[in-house]
Amino acid sequence: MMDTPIDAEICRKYKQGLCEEPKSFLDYPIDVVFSLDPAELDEIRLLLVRRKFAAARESIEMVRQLANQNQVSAVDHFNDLLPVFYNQETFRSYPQSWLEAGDFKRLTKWLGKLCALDLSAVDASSCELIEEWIKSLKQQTSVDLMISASGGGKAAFLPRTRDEWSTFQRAIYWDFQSSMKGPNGESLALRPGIDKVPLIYMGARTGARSWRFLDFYEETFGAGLVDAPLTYIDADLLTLAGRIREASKKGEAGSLQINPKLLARKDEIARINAEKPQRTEALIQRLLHDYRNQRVVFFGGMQMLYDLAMRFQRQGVKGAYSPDSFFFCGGGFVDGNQSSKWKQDVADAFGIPESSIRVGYGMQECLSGMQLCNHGKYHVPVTMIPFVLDETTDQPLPRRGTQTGRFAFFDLLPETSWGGYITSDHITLTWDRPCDCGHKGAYLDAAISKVAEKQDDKIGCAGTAGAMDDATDFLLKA
Amino acid sequence: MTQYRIPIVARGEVIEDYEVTYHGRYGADFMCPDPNKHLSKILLPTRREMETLHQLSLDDVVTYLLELGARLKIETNPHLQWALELARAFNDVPPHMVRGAMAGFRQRFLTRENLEGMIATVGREHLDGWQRHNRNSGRISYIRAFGVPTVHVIAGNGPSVAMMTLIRNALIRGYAIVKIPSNELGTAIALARTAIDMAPEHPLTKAFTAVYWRGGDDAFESKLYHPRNIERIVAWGGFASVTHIAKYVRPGIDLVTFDPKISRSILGAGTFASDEAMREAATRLADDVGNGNQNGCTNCRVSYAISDGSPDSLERLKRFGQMVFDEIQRLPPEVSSPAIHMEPGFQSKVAALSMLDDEFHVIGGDKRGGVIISLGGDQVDFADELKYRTLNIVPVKDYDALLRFITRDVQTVGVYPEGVRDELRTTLALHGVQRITSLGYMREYDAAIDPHDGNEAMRKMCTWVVAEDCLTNYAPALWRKPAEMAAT
Repeated sequence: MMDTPIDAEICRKYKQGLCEEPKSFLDYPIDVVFSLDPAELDEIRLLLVRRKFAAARESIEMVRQLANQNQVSAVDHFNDLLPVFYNQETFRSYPQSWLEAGDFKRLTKWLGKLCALDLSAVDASSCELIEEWIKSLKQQTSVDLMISASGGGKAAFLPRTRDEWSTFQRAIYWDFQSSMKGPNGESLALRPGIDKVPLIYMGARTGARSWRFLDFYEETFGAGLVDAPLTYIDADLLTLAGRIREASKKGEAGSLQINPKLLARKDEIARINAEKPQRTEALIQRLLHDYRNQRVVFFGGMQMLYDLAMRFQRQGVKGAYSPDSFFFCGGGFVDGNQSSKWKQDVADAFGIPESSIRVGYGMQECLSGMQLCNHGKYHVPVTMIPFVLDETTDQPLPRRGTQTGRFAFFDLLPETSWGGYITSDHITLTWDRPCDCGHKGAYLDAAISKVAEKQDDKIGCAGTAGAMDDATDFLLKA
Repeated sequence: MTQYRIPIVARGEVIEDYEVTYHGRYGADFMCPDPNKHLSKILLPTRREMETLHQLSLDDVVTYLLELGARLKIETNPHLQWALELARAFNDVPPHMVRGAMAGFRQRFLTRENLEGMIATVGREHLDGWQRHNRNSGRISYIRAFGVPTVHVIAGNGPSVAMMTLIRNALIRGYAIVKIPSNELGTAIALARTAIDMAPEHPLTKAFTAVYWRGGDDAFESKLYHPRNIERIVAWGGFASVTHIAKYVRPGIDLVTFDPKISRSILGAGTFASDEAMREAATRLADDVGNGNQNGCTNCRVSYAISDGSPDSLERLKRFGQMVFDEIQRLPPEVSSPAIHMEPGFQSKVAALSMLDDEFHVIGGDKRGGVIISLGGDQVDFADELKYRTLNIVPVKDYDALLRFITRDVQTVGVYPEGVRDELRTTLALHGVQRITSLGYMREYDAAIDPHDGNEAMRKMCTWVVAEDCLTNYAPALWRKPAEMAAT
């Protein structure tokens, strides 16, 4: 609950700044940021999004194409923009055969159509693997390509610039520092140059799946502070499962020719795979012994965190760390069910108050994330225009009351990529009932699931049987 | 919001204690009785119940079905009207098309000629008694095909699957438990209720049960799918649904699957020999693509066109693509209409290709439908998911080049000109194709009589029993004394 009134002059400056430069909100404390009247905030957002759309129509070919196809020429209301939104298919709308043939020249041309950058001068002719393409783009342009291959489908490529990643990191940092509060609301934010707190990240330190915030953290607080168990995750291997699936759909025409360069790394990949369990176990040992009684910051999945706490419990470990440690998690539980006292179990094992377990929600497609407030709500960032869509018709639901459906948003932070995105997340959003935490504006309920899981059991006669092989096995047998 | 109520019709009884609410498509909910509570009514109490069924002659069955057909007029049948209303709320297929399919039940399925055609696929001799076969060994084998207790997990993209299931089950005199799909909730129930109105006590009326449960409801399915209860599962559906059902398959339960399929066409060099041929092929292909709004497995999604890849040839293909697109727009509204709603994911896939205009030539690509010409000769990645009347034309230099794209997922291949069929049918079959037909007739598939997705469907739904007489002609056996053998 906010107990101190906000200085009117600061608030005016904040509003003015927001109109000119959306990311300026990062210069203000969270209570100021969420103090704007929702109607007033929407006016600012509408102003900003009109500006973004006008610019994108000129500079992003995909936006121009979608706008023309759907006859969108002006934005009178937020909903007018929906037909021009990207979705999970947009970032993988390239022909798969180009990837198989290593035709990165064409892939670069395609990538250039999704963002405002001119990539026509990029020389990708020597690239054979995705990893090499990522490097070439990095060397020759401001693009630091994001790749995602969730669910084993076609790989998705997000053309983000270094500047955008830097905004992304600043937004995480802002969230991270804002949410580090003690039991009485006092700030426990980390002080650069003073606090040397290890950051434990339960994933890969480098490579396709690594998290860019890790570099930022070390740059801000000191080298060597990040402890992540897995080494490099390879983009080409990451996409292999999807490529096998795509290939199998095409019959013999799709017979997958694995690039000899990737094949040459077979042994190395097999070794990395085999080492995974040991490396994770080694980190758990460090957590059980080396980091004991220290202040730590942890990032990982909710299930991972819980499993870890259960492991501590089984080994009779309680109160493992300094009470000013923080545990950030997200992603929910694997089976969707969580024990009602999971937070208590985690807090007991690690020796922290429950309020130091921070649950977050975010995605690569959006430059800012959300943290659950102490009243269990995700407050929509001021630079994000939220939408709730009917899950079967994709039509927007009214922007009032509480609505449940597919989540879509317009992110006002990106400069060269497009902010409109339709997610695959099933959410409940409240538009107009203030949250007890005191922050103004729309918020999401904590329960978020995938839309696909909620689909009914309809069966049609059109389609293909479809089956998938395990990517690593496929490669190792090749 | 209207709340729809879907009863269970179990062995001639309509059960209406609605307890469970399901969230259906397009925001509409529906209520059903709890199938767990009524499992004993859904199952046959004893296998003796099958006896009355198999005492019926095929003529009795045909008479019953013809009478049922006479009652399937939408105007006078309240149950079909109710099913239509449900299709309006829950099906992707526009209501007038569902109506058209229902109105065609009698003419398409329930004529004497059609029923005889279906009977002939198994053989009247095997369905109406024990057919004698004299074996070389001296044994006399009497063979009869029996329908058995079977769960039919049917597809719901139209009402005809429920109709066909009822007829197939009646002709083989099986006991059918139909698992209603969530997108076609009404037809199976409407047919079962029409039968009750007509002949409530008839064994065939009691041999057709229709019930909705949420596919994947383990609690119910693990009780239902037991060899004590059923002997066969006939499952329509894809990898996920069949994989799910397959876990219940064990010795004693047999699985018959009708996988989802896709269809394609081949345009031989003759197609582009004259403007006249191009126009005719375009008109015919437009029907293959657009009829039924490309919701079916028989709809054409990809056309392979013979082309030398020269600029001239590609220009001709573009012109042909425009013709097909125009013809699709001219299809009569009762068989085809523009999309009401387009999925954003699909739209962005087409939009991306529109921008890659060195490699793809896109005509339309919106709610009217579209034609995507792959100038580089590679079919689009989403070839199997093309919808909203969208066709991908892929130039290939010869037939060998297109065979690389053909898998067992391809059900029908439409051909133009006619000679292509004779030239390619064996090769296509060896690549997995199950039906080859004239361009413009892809949608006219009579799977009730012709092989269904590579299956002799009704034969496969039967359990084939042999009763042997080994004595009349003295078949040899270990225990028989050679002398006795010699004496005969």
